Amino acid sequence: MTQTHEIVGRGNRDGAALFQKWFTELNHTSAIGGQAAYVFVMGSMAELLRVFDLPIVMPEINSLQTAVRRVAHEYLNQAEDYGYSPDICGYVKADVAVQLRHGEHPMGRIPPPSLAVLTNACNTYIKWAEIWERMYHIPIFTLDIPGTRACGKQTWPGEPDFENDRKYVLAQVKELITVCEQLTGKKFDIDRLRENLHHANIMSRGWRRVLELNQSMPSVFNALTDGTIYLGVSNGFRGTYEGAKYFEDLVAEMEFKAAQGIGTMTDEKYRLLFVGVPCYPIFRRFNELFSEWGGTFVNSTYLWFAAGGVNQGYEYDLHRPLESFAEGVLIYVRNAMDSMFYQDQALAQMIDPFHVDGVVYHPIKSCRTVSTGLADNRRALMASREIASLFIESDMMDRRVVSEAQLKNRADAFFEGLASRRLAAAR
Amino acid sequence: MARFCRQSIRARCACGLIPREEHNQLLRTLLPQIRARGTRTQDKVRVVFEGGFCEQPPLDMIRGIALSCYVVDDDLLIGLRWLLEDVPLDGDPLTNLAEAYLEKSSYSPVQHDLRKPKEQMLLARIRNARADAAIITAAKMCEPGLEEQVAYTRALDEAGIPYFVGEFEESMTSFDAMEIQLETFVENILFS
Repeated sequence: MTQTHEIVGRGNRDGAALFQKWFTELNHTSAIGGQAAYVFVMGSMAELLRVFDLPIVMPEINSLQTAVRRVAHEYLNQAEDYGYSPDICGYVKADVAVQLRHGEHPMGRIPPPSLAVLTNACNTYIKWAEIWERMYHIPIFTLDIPGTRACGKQTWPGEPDFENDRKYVLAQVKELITVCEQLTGKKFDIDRLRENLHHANIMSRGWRRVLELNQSMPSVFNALTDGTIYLGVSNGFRGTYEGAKYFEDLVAEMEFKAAQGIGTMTDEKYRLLFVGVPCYPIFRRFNELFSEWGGTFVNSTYLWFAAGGVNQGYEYDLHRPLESFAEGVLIYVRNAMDSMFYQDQALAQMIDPFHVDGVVYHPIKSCRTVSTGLADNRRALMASREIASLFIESDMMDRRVVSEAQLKNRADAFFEGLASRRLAAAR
Repeated sequence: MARFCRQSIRARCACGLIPREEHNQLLRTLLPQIRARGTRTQDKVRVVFEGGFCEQPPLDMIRGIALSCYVVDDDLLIGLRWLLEDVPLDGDPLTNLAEAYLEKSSYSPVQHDLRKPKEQMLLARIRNARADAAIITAAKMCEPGLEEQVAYTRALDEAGIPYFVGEFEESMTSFDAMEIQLETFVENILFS
C-alpha cells in the first residue's frame, strides 16, 4: 500500500516540482541579467545549448501557462492593443505581452532573449523570432529542417536523400555552435554534448515506453491531462540528468500501474485518441466533458509533435555525437511535422493496440499550422477504418472563442453515439 | 482614375499569362500611351498600397481606393517584379540569377531575411514613390501579413507617415465602409 502511494501519481507530483524549479531558475536569470536562449518545442536544440550553459526559455510553454492560469485574456488584450490581429497565433500574442511587461509572467519573471533558435517546423516560429529580433536586436538562428516530401515517403540513414539532408542539417548545427561560442565566450565541449545526448537518450526511450504502456487496460495515464505534465518535463529538461531521472521514474510508475491494473480513472468506459492542441483556457473542464462519460484519452498527436517528435524514439550514437545529433534533429523534427500533417496513418495503426473507441479532433482558431488539414485527415481516417470521431473547435488560448456549452452538446452526442454503437455491436 | 488603376493591374496580370517577350512589347506600346494621357490633378493623396503580396485583393477594392488616392506603388503581384535590378548578362547566368534573388530583390512578409528589414524597405518604397501615406492591409487570416502589419505601422509611426490599416478577403463584395473610412483618412491628410 505504501509502495502504491509512493509510486502512483509520482510523475505528476515530480513534474509539477520540476516545472516550478525551471521557472524559479528563469526568475533568477532575469534578476541577475543573465543570458537566455529562446527556443521552440519542435527542434529546441536544448542538448546543444546546454553545452554553453544557456538557460532554456520556451515561449510556447510560457504562453499556454497564462491560459491554464486563466490570465491569458489580459496578455492577449495587451498585444491586440499594441496592434496584433485577433486572428493570429495566441501564443505569439501572449509572449509579446510578456515582453512588453518586461518578463512579467504568472510563474515568475522571464529573462529577455540573448539568442533565439528556431526551426521551420511551424511557419509562425519564423515570424515570432522576427519580433524578438526587432525588440532586442539579438542573433536569430533559423534551422531549415527538410521535411517529408510526401505522405509515407520518409527516407532513412544510408539512403542518398537522407544523407544529403543529414549533411545539410549538420552544416547548420556547426554554424549554430559558432554563434553560441561567440555569444557566450565559451568553447564548444564535445564531451558535454555527449553527456547531454546520453540524458536525452534516456528521456526519448522513456517517452516512447510511457506512450506504449498506455495500451494497458485500464489506461495508466490520461494523454490530455497527465500527458501534458510529462510533455512539459520532456521539453523543459531535455538533455539533463533531472529529465533522465524523471523519465526513468515515470516508466517505473507506469509499469507498476500496468502490472497492478491501476487505471487513470476508476471506471474507464471509452478509450479515445486526441488530435490537435488542448483547450488550455478550460483545461480541466474540457477533459471533464469526456471523463464524465467514462472517456479517457489514451494517446494524442499533441504528445508527438509538441514533444518535438521524440516519441519516435531515435537514440543518439554517443560515439559520433555531432553527426548523430544532426541526424536525430532531422528525424525528430521531421516526425513532429509528420505528426501534424500526416497523422491519419499513425492514428489508424493505433486503433487496435490501444483498443480505441473514438477519435476526437480539436482544431483551434489560433493555430492554422496544426488545424488546417484536420478535416481532410479525419475523412482519410474514416475512409480507412470504421471508427467513431468527433470534430470540435475552440482555441488553445483565447477564451472568447471557447463555447463550453457547445462543446458539451457535441461531446454528449458523441458519447450517446458511442453507446449506441456498442449496443448494436453486442446484439 | 479608378479605371486607370484597374487597367494598370490588368497589364501587370498579363505578365503572368503571356510570354515575357510579348509582355515587354505590350509595355513598349502602353507606356507612351500612358504618358500621353491628359489628366487633371485631383484632390487625392499619393499612397503606397502594402499587403497584397500573396492573395490578390478584389479589383473593386482597388477601385474603391483609387476613388480617393493615387496608388503610386504597391506590392501587388510582387513575385512578378521581385528582382529590383537587371540581372547581369556577363558570367554564369545561374550564379547571376541566384545573386539577384538574394541580394537585389524586393521584400514580402513571407521572406525571412534579417538583412532586409521589411519595414525599412517599405519606408524606402514610400520615399522612392514620393508617397504621402500608406495603406497597410492583409488578407484576412494571413498570419505573416497580419504579423508584419505591426512592424510596418510602428515604423510608419516613427517616421511620421500617416497610414490606413485594413483587411480584405478575396470574396469580399462590399467596400462602402472601407471607402468612407478611407475618404475620411484622406481628408484628414489633405485638410489638416
